[in-house]
Amino acid sequence: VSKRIDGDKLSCLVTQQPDARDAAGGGTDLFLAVEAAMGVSEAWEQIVHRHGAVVYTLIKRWGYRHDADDLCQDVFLLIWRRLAQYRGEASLKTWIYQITMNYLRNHATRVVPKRRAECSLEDEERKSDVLPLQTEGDAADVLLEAERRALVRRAVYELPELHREAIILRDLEGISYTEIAETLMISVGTAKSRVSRARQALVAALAQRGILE
Amino acid sequence: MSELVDRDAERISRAVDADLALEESADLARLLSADADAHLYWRRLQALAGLLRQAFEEPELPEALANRLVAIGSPGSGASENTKVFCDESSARRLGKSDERKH
Repeated sequence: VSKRIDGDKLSCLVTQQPDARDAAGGGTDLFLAVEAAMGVSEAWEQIVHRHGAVVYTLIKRWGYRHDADDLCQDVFLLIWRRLAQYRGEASLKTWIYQITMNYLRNHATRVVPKRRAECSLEDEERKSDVLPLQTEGDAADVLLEAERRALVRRAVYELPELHREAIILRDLEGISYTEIAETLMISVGTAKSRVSRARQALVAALAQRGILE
Repeated sequence: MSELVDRDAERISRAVDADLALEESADLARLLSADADAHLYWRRLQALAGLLRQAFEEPELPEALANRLVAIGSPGSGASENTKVFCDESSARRLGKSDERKH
């Protein structure tokens, strides 16, 4: 690190505090953020490497399946511009989740609402999760399965925003209630009850569509 | 289903979260045997996890996009010019404070 930003106050701090670096040899969240903000391109690359897929997946799961690339770039521009505000109080991952969720909430108010849930069955039939077919029977099964997946996705996209984000964070991203609370800036108790209510709503929606018995 | 109270729904939700078997919780087993709605909800929640896993793929970050994201932090990119203002004092100060807390 000291070579990369030689002569800077930060390099002195980093050199004097080797324990502050994590055991894997990479930077801690705060070091990474500060280095990246100072223009150390390797630090920024590491942030992209560690969190890029998470942001991209979150955007796609939110329902922006076709313009996920551009939205992901927008989110990372925001992250880049706000690096100076990162204080290391939450993990960088949680902080990035916060930025992403806020961006997605705001974006939802700017686009035509129907455009977001762009998971039409026609789209699904073209999707790559339709496996190679062997027989006509297989073809019917595969299409039914693709349709079922599409209906599940649509049910998630159509949940109210608070419920949708609870399902995505807990059941798809698999993050803890504590992290959900930090990301959404709510209490852990509220996070738990929100996830529970979201699941109730989703179960009801899927049962109504005959997907859940 | 509609009769299931929030408190019970949340108990069941947490039990499914913890991958709790009925034998591990006498309370939960009692609730599920006494309340058909609760039992139905328990079964549906267990099925939900599988449905969600199947329905949502975990896409990889496309390489071209990864390159675009990395380029945001490259010297000379428009984005990096915006951040130069906070490079020195405040960043070092933040690191200093963080280190103090650790000691």
